[in-house]
Amino acid sequence: MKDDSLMRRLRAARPVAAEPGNHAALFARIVAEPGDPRLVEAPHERSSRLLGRRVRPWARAGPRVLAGSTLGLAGVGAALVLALSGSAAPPAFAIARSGDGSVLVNINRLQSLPAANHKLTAMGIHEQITVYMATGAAPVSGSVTCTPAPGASSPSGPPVKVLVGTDGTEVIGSGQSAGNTGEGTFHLDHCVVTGDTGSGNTGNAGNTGAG
Amino acid sequence: MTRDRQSNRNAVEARFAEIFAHLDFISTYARRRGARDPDGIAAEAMAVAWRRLADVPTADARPWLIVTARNLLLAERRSEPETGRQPLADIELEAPAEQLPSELDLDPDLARGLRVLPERDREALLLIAWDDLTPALAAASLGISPTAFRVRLYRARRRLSDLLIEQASVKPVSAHQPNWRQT
Repeated sequence: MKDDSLMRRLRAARPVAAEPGNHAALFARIVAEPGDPRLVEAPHERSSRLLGRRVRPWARAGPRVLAGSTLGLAGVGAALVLALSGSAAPPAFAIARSGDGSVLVNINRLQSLPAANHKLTAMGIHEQITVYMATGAAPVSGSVTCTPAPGASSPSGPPVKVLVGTDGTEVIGSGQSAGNTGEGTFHLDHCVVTGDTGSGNTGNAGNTGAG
Repeated sequence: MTRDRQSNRNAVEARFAEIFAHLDFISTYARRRGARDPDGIAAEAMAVAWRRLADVPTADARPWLIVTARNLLLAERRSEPETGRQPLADIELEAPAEQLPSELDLDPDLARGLRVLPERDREALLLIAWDDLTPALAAASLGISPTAFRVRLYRARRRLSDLLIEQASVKPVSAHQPNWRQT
């Protein structure tokens, strides 16, 4: 079979493309900051719902935002406990300085984030972290480097990395989900770092994506 | 918000809008590669693109988006279909071979040939034939050089062509031809 006819045959068998649609609500949901009037038009739930299509079963809950502040925690409730293997319970959080000057914050219980931020300040590191959780296991295990929010001034302190659990994935089992978004598997999608008095709501360096 | 910051914000959103215009393309890509929720994967890819805007090539975002969508597809396949949960111990380190969705209405011979083809060959063919990428863009989405891609595409065509010829030459024995087999 000649190449041209083969490619023609392949093209002829091409499954139909997705129907073009109006995705303005999804666009707004992705780019808008809190307080943006476009969000009034867009439901709080995430993209698939905005598209008017079914929600992915493994991503039915929107990204959860956890911050050291009361405001950040209000949205997720207080009872977030990681189900970790092993008999000895690990510390709720641990902070360590790496040889390259960066700071690694290991979070084993997400409700300890305010305490972790407090500890950062006590260590003379005037940076506060906000973590954004998404459903599903982390595509890539390991820590995530926090980045400044766009438009916010970069904190002058060292780079801050966050590791949730032992590999970036958190499993909330039955009976452990009181007050939060539910049982399931979550991973640290991205995190944002601000100065002690700063604030931010978007960030970068998630562990999903190209590259 | 100062005027400068608003202006910068508008520029960033305008840049993202160019990428976001590929939403349907990525949704189609994910569907043709057998995603359970192609729209969700496309939306997720766009959210990742927004967060990593500086990493997205300005010339053409499609290869970057395809790589992201492919990663999300693999994550979807690793997840448990019913609950979305998967025991950590069961997560495979090696990505499963990409599979063709069974519900696609393909010519059976062609479908069989594509399934037998090595995944890397199949993807090279489909990026051109189904996704209408140029060889350069297809190469970028596979992380290889255009020259390497052309070689891979050539071999993939030849392999698929051989498979189709082989299939055509071995017809099943029918009730009317009980003892005949074309060779």
